[in-house]
Amino acid sequence: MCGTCGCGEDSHIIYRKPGAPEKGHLHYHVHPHEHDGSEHEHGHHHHHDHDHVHSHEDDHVHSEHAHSHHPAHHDHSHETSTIRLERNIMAKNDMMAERNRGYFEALNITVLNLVSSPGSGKTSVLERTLKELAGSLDAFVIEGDQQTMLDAERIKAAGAPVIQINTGNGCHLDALMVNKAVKQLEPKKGSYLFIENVGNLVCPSLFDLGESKRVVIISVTEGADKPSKYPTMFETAQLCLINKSDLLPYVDFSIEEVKEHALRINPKLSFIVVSARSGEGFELWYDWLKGLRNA
Amino acid sequence: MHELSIALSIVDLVTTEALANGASSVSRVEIGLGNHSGVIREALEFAMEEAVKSTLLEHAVIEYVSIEAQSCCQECGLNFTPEGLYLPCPDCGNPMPELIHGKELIVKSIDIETTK
Repeated sequence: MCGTCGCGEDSHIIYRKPGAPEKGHLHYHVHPHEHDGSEHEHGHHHHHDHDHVHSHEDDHVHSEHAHSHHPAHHDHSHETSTIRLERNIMAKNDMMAERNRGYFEALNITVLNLVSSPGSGKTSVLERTLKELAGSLDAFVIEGDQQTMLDAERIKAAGAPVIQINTGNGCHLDALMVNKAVKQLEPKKGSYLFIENVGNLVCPSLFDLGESKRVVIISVTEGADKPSKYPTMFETAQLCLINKSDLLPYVDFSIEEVKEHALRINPKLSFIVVSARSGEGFELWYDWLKGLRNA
Repeated sequence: MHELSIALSIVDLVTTEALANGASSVSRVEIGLGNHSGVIREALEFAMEEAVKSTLLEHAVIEYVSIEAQSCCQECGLNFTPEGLYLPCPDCGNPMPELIHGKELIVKSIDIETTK
């Protein structure tokens, strides 16, 4: 089942590099009609609105067996047994994240998971970073958005190889999406990989992607109490960039107040005040990035 | 919103275990939800209704067990039930007592039906 809207599709997630042709949905699901009661994913309501390559490998005669599982309710005797599992529901994502992490470690790739509310300036911070560090480090970018190639185009223009993940209706990136995207992006040994997560301060916090560090970005046009309102993201991050510092004279935002809120949740969190517009504070951000190599 | 992907993970996990044990269907799933797991029970219930369709879990009763938060102070060793998240130890004031329970997001047990 599709993980974003719950329809019968395998996936609504699109991976694309700027300039690559729109392939639409790749339906790489094969319908396993073995009728063992498993993997029944019928009822296909294909609601997409662009071209796509269908490769269904069977005839669609779903109606005939739409309810043919739970067989033999009447003729055979049933036995009920309880199995104790105590299994972590996030285990699958966490395991994939660890696989990603191992791959990155082996290739000495430093991976940053950038998270924030929509509009905090993740892409602008990245653009300036990529342009200014173009000569001194190899950078690759995974862009996560529900729709459009807009961010990927901006990153490409800033000079870094990029792949866009469009999650459809999905509110976060997960480790499997990153795993698939990395295979297409092929980041170089010893490079930095920036993953710009979907703009959302809630859901991405639960999904480890295999990153080296998580960077949460907040801008001075937001409320300074945001860390207390959305604690999980600030709890799981190692660095907080406070962006749009050039606007500080015009807004009622206290740097001290936001630090106080965030430190109450995560006493180990570091802060750098930056402006993606003016470039203020970026030297400190670059020092922090380069420092990850020596850690 | 992330509850749907969590619901699908539950269906996936339970289906794998059920099939491995030769089940023809699953009649009960017991889910443990920590008070601070980051998952809203109502949203998960709603997502589960959709996620179980056309799976072995379709007719299963889904039980939700909430798991109370429990903290332990690394400084003074006090075990206590925190009144909220991110509060200091009520005894010694250590700002970062460790949350030892309350983040759980687990499938505790399942009842499976096997046909003889």
